[in-house]
Amino acid sequence: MNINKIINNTLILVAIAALAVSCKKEKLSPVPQTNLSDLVAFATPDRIEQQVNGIYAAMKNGNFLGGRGLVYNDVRGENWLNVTGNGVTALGVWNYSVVSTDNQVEGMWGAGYAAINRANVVLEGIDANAGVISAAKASAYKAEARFCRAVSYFYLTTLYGKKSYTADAGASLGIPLRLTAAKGSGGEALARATQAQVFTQILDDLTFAENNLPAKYASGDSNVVRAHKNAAIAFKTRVYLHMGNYPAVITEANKIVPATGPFTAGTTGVNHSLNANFVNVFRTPYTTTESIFSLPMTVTNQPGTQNGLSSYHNSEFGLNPAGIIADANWKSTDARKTLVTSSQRYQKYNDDVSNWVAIIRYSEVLLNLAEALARQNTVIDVRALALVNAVRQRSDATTTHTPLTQADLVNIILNERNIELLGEGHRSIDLQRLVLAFPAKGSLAAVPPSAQNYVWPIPATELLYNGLAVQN
Amino acid sequence: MRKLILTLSAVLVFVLTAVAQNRSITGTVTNENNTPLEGVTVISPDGKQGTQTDKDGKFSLSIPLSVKNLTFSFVNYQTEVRAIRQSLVLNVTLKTADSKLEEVVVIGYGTQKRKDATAAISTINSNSIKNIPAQSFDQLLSGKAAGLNVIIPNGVLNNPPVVRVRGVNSINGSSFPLVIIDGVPAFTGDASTNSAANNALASINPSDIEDITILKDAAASAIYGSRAANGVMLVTTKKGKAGKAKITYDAWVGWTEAFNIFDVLRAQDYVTLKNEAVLNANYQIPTSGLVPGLGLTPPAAGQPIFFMDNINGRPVDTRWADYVYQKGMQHNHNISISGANQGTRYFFSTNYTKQNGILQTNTFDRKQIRMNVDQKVNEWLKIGGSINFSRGTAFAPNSGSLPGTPFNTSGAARLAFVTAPNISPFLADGSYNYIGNPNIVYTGQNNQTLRNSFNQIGRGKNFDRSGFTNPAMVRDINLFSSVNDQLIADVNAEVKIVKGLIYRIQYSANYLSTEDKSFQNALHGDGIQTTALTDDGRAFNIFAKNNIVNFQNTLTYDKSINNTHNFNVLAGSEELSNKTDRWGASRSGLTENFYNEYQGGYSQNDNPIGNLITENYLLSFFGRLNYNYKNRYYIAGNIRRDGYSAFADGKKWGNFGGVSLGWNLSDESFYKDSKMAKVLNKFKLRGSYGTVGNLSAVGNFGSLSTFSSGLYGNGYSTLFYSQAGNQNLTWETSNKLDVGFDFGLFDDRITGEFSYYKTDLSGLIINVPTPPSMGIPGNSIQSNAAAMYNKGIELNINAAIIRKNDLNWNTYFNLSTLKNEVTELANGVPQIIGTTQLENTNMTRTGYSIGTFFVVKSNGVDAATGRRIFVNAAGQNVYFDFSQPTATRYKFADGSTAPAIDIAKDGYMAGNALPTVYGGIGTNVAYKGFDVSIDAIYSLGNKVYFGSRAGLLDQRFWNNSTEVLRRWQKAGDVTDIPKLIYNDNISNGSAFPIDANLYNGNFVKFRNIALGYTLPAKLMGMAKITSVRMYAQMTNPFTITNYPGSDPEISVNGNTALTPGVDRNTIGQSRTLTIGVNLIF
Repeated sequence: MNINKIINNTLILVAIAALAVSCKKEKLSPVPQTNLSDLVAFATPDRIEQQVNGIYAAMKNGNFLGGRGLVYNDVRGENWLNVTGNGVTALGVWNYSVVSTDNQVEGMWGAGYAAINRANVVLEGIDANAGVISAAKASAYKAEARFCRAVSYFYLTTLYGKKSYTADAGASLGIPLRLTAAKGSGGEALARATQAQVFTQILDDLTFAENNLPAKYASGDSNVVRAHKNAAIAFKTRVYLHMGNYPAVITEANKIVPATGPFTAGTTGVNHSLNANFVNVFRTPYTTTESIFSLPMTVTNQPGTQNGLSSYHNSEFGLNPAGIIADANWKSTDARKTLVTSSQRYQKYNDDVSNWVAIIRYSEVLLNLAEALARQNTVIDVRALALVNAVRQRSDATTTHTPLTQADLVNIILNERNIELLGEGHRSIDLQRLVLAFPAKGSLAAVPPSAQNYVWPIPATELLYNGLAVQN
Repeated sequence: MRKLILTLSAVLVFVLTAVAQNRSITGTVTNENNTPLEGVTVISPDGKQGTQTDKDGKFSLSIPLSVKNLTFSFVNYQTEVRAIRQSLVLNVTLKTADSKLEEVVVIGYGTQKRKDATAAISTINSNSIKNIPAQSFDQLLSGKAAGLNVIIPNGVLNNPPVVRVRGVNSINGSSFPLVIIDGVPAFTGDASTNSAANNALASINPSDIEDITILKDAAASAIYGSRAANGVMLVTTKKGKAGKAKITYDAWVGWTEAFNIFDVLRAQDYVTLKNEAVLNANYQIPTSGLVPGLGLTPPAAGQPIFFMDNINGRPVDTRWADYVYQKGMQHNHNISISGANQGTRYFFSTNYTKQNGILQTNTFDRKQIRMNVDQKVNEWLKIGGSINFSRGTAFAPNSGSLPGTPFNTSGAARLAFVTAPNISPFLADGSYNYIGNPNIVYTGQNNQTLRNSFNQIGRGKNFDRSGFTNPAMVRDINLFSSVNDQLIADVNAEVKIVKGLIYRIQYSANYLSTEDKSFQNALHGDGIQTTALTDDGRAFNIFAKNNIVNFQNTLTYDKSINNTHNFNVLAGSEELSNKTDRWGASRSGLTENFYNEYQGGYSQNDNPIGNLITENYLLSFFGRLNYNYKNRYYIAGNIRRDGYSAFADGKKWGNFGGVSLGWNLSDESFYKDSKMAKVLNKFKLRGSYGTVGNLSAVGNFGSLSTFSSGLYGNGYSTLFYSQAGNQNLTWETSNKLDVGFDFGLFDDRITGEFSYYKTDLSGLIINVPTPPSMGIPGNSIQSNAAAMYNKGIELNINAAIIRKNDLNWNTYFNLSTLKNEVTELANGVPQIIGTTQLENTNMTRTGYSIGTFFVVKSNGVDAATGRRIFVNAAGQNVYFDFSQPTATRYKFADGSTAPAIDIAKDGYMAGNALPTVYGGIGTNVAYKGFDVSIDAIYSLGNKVYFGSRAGLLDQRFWNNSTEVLRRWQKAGDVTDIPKLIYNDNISNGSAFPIDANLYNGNFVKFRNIALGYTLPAKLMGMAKITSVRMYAQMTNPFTITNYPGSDPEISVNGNTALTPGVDRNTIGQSRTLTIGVNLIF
């Protein structure tokens, strides 16, 4: 060992040590390869558009509007009988026995609020990244987000609110109204808003949506699976009808329904109209002009096992022989009746994996308007009758409704609604807005609006971790 | 400079002079028994002259006059330095290095004399684990060191053991110790994603291991900083040893079998008892379930529904365990070549093992090769490297015995005892007995196909289902495999800069790729999809590449000032990068039953499965100072600064460290002269305290809030909020205190260590729930919120009872105690439920040991009515009768209806799941050529939840254990088995766990008994073989326990912290007889 060696070795050592220490500090902040950090998730126009799509994707979660959310509202009504007795597939929903710890109660709530939070995250993200897209584009995207938020709140508050809005003009408790993005801890405790507050917010969101959504999109598919101006208007007719505000229903519906037939929405927006073939509305490619807003499914983008509407319509539940199919005036030749199988199954949805889910259709808007008109008039409203006949005769050209009284007309419209929207998640919500008991079905007794199980309980985990939440 | 040149010149002159004046030294080296030692290295202090002793222990060496002494070194003996005086003959007696205090121990980034160690370190020598059949070395460590608790979870081949150093050290993170193999960080745990378990550590051949050092306290482990909370296991592999090339061949062959398989009812008893239960329940097969048109009339209520004879009128009595278990044969072969001379040290080995397990179709084989070489290039440079390559292939059925699987419908362990014995696996024509999908054109073999009942074993003449799936069929038609290819390689160099100052650099890579294949046939079992017939039959493969790259630089400096002040200083840096790239694919709708691979014919491609790309990076700087004064007073400290990629900016860096003190009392002159010293010849006090961390609970991107991509319908890409990060996440903190002493008695005839330890764990990461209305993904946020502690004592004793020429008797004993208590959980988290797949078995609450059993109290069986008596939260007896309508099954003693028992409300903290006392004891006797060794382990103080018993007494169609024969039958019967009511799944604990199935888990298990014979050396001379040893041994020969299950050493939930000690539907351990031979050429 000589001095040169010492010096050499030391130099090598220092060099290597320096190399070791200089080892790339950026390695300490690796970037995930399969996820985007929140810092860059809104950095490009494409990403913002994908963020907006993500809200719809959350809404179509199988536990929410992609399946179970609608099923629960159907099977709470009298039109379905449970077949399999399977506790995890809506048996307790059907027999009104769900409790606050139930997976179904927790699942729907969680999936619904996940969609709401996604909308809130996107609204915040768009504002925080103002320069990335034009102000007009930003407004349109925000309108989509608020449309989704409104739809989600509507489905949640009608199921979990203490009383339906119409029972006491919204004075009862609704659900917590979360309008800011939750991305970390903080703000856990939030009291439930009243039904009136929730509905005010829903209408505020829908009005903003109506004013800022595009009239239509370039691709036909988008006009069904993304919100546009008519979708916001259409949904407002449903919300106002639910609130019993019939003049407002008429005002909104008039924007997309002409005074006389043939009923089409007009060419300024998507020119919605009834599809001549009823069955084809529910068959591929699912993009008829009747479909105002639907949630799309594909083989690689499914609602999940035991979530799809078809598995409930064709396996878990069967149609109640004493329900709407007992209606003698609903002829077997009616296109809608031809979907009822010999074993009382319902083929509106017939494919486990790829049936799109119709959230709102033009025929519903016609019926919403018809009901509002009929209720607003003291005598038989001619336009209302024309509307309900348009819906009936599209499926059954041989029948014309001929009501004798105004009350008769209202009942005809409600009955038509029960037929037309069967299996689309309306029955429970309709009974609740009319403050009607859930009728007896099978071996189950009727459930009056005063009963505790007329609405769902608030989930146990919400009560546990949200200190301000209270049970129904 | 001038002075230096002068000095160098002087040295040069001196050396030249020396060369001219050599002398020859001769001598004999023997051991204390006067036996000549062959292969002893005799070397001059400068390393320039050296030789080895021959077979007579003689050496001859020519050395310069300048050389004043010679060093004699030999493995397992104390190195001697002898001065050369007048005589040119130097006879040396080497003392065996049997005293632990004289050993060198491996510590983090270096070695140390055990005598100088002031930390809690245990070393396991390879001799104590060699030749024992296993797949990986970690399975062999039970009872081998104080403070180390190893539980073999069950007999599934290559299922990773539960390994704990001083208790459970994390709640959601890993408690498995950090494993470092020759300085290279290792992968641990099950690398497989399917039912073919494949422990990553099985890539190391146990026979290649020289020793394993366990760093337990902060003084020892803090040099590993943020990864040290669970203790550190340093594995050192064998290296070549001085002497001529040594060639070894080791082989064993073994036969393994299951033991304590549950005694279940034979067919006659099954039929009798099930029909009794049917009668008691007044049960009738629901007519609505029968397919119309078959013309079958279900028996009236209370009439028999199970029948002894089958459809052909012949009785059937099937022992289903015969279709699940087997006697497996195993064999193992190692060849190694090793040696070392002045400059080069090398070791080469290869291994092949093929092992059949106790479960049919469960196999493991390993093909492995290992090479290492060190070369001394010159006096200042040494380079070396090693390569270990292994392919470990595992096949296993769906055993239901791995974490998350015990309730799998086709889990083999449960099928073995649940399936009705009065049906057969095969039909008369030799085909499988099963009920196929009724949607297929189906020629029903039982004429009893029920709606919604396909995908079950066929029922014979029974009127209710008679099992889940057919064990023989799913065994044969489904296939699960996992192949681990692992390459561990390193290169290293050591540069001696000046005397005492050494720079070392090591670059290593550990590449583990795993290919998991799963195939589920379309005919029967898990491959049957509930959704659509066209989806039946599924194959899914997952391929993963896991890479660790590690780069270490260390400087060590040894300095002794007058043998008074002794310093050892270490400084270093380390980079560790860990990447995983995994992807998988799935296909379903098998088109042809001929295929059993992913590449066969399927009608649809499913969404990809198992996709993952992730990485982490750890950058570290560390240092250590050891100082002692005259080898009597010790002080040591080590620090480490770690930067870890998973934490947010500002939280990335953490500091860890430990200090220790030691006092070698027995080296004090006043002590040496005392009478005490005659008995207690060695005594050292030591103590340490320090802080280390645990990063395993944090996901690689755990601090980040991230967005993921998905789909919305046809062609709409989405981006959505998928993870709520926590910018404040940081290491879990472990503060470790250790005090103890090391001792030697009677001239080291008895040596041992005693320690008291306490580990305070804080900032443990748990998922703090958020209200679901916030819509946070997963409804929780990871947070450093919980705390707990572990404390106890450890005692380790080794005794050389007899040390004679031809009789040696050694024994060891170690004992550890553990008290664990959770002291803090997050606000809003009153408890954490521990779930065994479907069943909530354990509960973690403050004030209790982690994962305490949580069950409903049972007060036996009412002698008057045969009803199970539960005890509700208010302490009231609640009588349960399944034969009543649902609403009135639970009754108080006065006959009034009681609320149904709800485990959430009525469960109680029923017992500790972690052993509180455990350890090992063993003995080894060698007499002439014979050697006998016995090793036992023991474990006390914990309960084991015998969940399988709930199934074994379940009154659905399930077969029962023979325990059920002592059922309650009439008023006055005093028994623990309630009246049998058909379909009763509540009374015996299937619906919720009850304490009637909770048992004391104490056991003493004889782990291994071996008998060996080494052929006399004189016989060997002719065959040119150095040594031949033959042996026979029994692994798990017997266990002393009151536990009624197959084995109290069990863990169906593997290494999870929250659900220890659960015996639910898992197979038991294996018992293996092996015979083998060790040859040395």
